[in-house]
Amino acid sequence: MSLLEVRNLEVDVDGKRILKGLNLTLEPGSVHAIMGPNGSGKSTLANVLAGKPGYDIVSGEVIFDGNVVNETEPEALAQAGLFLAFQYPVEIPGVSNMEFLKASLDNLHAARGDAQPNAVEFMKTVRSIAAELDLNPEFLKRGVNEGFSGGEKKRNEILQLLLLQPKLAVLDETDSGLDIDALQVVADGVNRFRSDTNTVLMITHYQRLLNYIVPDAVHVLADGVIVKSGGRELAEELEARGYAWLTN
Amino acid sequence: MVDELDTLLAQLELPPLLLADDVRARLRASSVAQTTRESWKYTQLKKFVPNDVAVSEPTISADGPPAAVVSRLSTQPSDGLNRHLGDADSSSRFPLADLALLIAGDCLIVDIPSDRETDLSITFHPGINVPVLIRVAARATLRLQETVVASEFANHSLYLLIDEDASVEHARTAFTSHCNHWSLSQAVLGVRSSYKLQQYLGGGNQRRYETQIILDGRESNASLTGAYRVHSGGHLDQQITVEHRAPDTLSEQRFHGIGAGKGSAIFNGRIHIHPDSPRSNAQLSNRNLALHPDAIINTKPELEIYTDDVKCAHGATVGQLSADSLFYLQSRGIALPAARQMLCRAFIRECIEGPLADIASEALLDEITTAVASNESL
Ligand SMILES: Nc1ncnc2c1ncn2[C@@H]1O[C@H](COP(=O)(O)OP(=O)(O)O)[C@@H](O)[C@H]1O
Ligand SMILES: [Mg+2]
Repeated sequence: MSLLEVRNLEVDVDGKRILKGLNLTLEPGSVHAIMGPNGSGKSTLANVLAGKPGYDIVSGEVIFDGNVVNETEPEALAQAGLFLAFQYPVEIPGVSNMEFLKASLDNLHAARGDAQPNAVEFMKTVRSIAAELDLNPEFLKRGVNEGFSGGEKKRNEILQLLLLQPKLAVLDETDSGLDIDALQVVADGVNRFRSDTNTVLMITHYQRLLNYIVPDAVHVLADGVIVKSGGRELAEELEARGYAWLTN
Repeated sequence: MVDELDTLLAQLELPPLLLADDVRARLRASSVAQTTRESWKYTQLKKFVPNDVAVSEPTISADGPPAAVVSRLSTQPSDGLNRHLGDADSSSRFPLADLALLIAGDCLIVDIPSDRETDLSITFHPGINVPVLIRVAARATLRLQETVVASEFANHSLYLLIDEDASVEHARTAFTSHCNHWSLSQAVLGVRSSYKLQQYLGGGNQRRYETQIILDGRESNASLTGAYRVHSGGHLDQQITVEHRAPDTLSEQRFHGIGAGKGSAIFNGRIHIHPDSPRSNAQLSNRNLALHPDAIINTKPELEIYTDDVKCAHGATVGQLSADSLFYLQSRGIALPAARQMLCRAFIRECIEGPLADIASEALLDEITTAVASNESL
């Protein structure tokens, strides 16, 4: 069974059609990349998959892990194993990273009927992931993403990915704004997440990321539809030729 | 107000306070002016005119003598005190403080010695409290905690005179809800002195807290932080004035409030930068969350600037929880009601600090938990 199936998805935002019949199928354990020019609808797709309010699914279906999830609340999607790494993670002063991560993990465990992780184990896990991602553990005491640099915010997204261990990770431009070192750290994190069952949908504007995280398939999104799919070599072709030959 | 005052004053056998005539004259003049003032638009002054004149003695405890010396106005020469008890220019804004001076006929004076640290706590009681004047000597450090036991009616005023290079941290709470409760807190800051206020309040039947900060000495600075909530049927009116009267003075204000029920929260933050106060820096931020559809929140920053070369920033907002923040929490598996709770609590916690933080958290956050749980339409 596919982990994710998007069938002929049409989505309106503020009364404007943004996704115009999008199809996508992800098998468990695969890594797919979606590339496309700015404004083509990449973040819209990511947000719809994560259940963000304000996106009107006009037709089509999203099937996640065997269930139609068109109307599913974001928390239920997360509990079912979907994770979105945000293009622009918000800052939430007053809620510490620690409190936030613990609440997330507790909720996910509760939804799966698993025992709550004890506080000591939890701390150990978080600290070791933080160390792998070059995040100073002091960040745990600060507000969620509060005062973080762009790179720190992206690393915090990957920390959550590794902590929460979803089935599907949707990464929305996780590479943008990262220098080479940070990109390597983030890519290492994602590669560690990859497994026979863990699945990744990478959204990116540049093919650079794909040198670090090698995808099984590449799709080009333009004006709300996937206009071309291929293997890794498609990304290289895009790098050389740009998007224009596909969108005209 | 004027009629009520006349009746009241006629009934009173006023004690022979040295200042009585001055105060009485001020009171008459100002009470007339007050009733027409914009600042009394939302709160009824007459609710704070007492039915009787029960006078209470505030409880003051210091960390052991000779840490602080408490004396009474009647035992002090009066020269110069008039100026202290209600700053000359501004006293007319506080007729209720003058009323208390008249009725109490006395004033408690606390002298904080120089060059050392003192901890002081003050508890105000129901009725008209004897006004308290705290004189903080040069280079002293004072940590002051203020609480109030207000049952039906309370009036209390506190004057702080902060000398050169002294610093004062003042934490106060008031959460009793069924009372008509009026308070003045006035601080006059000398050269390079600092004043830090942490103020945590709930709504009363009518509660009005007037705060006046006078940055009188150059390089003095004040930092005011507060959080508040108003429950159904509650009323809370905060009037805060910061006067920059000297060069290189700094004031920062950060207040977060929650309308948790069908009640009124009024926040008036006035910044007044006087002539000849170059390089003054005044910052004010007041943010409010309306957690109840019928919550009434009035917030109004006022600026009067009479010097060039100043920095001034103020913002006042009334809003709902951020949809993006809610989505972020939900996308990590946190259910919507819990996500709302987290954001509301965070909003208040941003402004909770200092020695009364635990009391403030408990009083403010419990109410919020209930309010959020009972309102699905945030
Ligand atoms: N909240 C919104 N309201 C209106 N239009 C939007 C909104 N969000 C995105 N759009 C529009 O939808 C289109 C796709 O945006 P987006 O999905 O963010 O593109 P991408 O991530 O590929 O750069 C753009 O034309 C953008 O202007
Ligand atoms: Mg985008």
